[in-house]
Amino acid sequence: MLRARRSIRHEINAGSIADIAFLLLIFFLLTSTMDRNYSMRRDLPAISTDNSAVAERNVLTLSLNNVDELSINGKPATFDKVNTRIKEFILNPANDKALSEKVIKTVKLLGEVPISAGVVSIKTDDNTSYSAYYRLNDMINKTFLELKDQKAQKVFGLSYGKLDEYRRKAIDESVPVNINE
Amino acid sequence: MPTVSTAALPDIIFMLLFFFMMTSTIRRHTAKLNVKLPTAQTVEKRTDAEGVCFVYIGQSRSGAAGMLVQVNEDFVELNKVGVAVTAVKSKLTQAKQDKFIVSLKIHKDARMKMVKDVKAQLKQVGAMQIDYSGTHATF
Repeated sequence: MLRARRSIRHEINAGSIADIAFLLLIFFLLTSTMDRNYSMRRDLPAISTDNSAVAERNVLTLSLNNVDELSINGKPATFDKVNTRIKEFILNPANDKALSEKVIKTVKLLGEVPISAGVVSIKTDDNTSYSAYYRLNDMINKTFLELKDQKAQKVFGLSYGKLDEYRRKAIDESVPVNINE
Repeated sequence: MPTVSTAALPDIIFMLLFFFMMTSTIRRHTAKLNVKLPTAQTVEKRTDAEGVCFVYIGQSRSGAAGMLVQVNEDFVELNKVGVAVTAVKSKLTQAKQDKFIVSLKIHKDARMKMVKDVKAQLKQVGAMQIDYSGTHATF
């Protein structure tokens, strides 16, 4: 009697597992998106946005007019000039009186370093397109990343992306990104 | 008549299922607007913080002229964005409110007048951390 019962093999019918999996698959296909979220982080300035408190030499004004044409400090310029103009403005290697001022500050890990007090000011017309504004921001980001990378190479001998948290913070402090709108 | 064995079918489906689960993210909101994002090289992958509010500026799908504003799920008047964002923020827990980010998904052909207007309102209601969504250009 016992033997006979053991010989009967009880199996769960697995035929419907495929259907259940299909159902799950369709559920996930409908509730999810394939696009990744890429974005540019910005903090809105807490203080007033007017530049009157900042010395004129410390402001580099990039303005976009109603037909998306760029001018730097009031003079028409092309987009590919943004990179060199910002670098020149921030680094100011010859300590030019017309370019940004340097302030000596103490930064952890680096000691006393000269830090540019330069502010990049973005001005737009009401009719400027968002894509031109985005492109300009992209260029500013890229320039500051290059400046940080340059600094990191000089101080630590590593590219900015390869630094650990503390060193990265030191570089962030010595190359501040001041953007005003 | 010889039959095709379907025993491996569930395994295949499960594999597909796992693939899609790994490669996709859960859709939070349906954009009811047509938003073509601008392209940039320096965009970063957003760390998916929980305290996010999405503000869309885009063209209506019906093809009407002009840009509309959507905050999370709802259409909002341009001058009510600040109020709508505050309403979203107030529903979050304190921990999430501290890390609150407003993600702006703006059509690349939008005019800066609208963008500036939205940003001025965000500043007024104290939503200082924002990000501009874009597509990643690889070259």
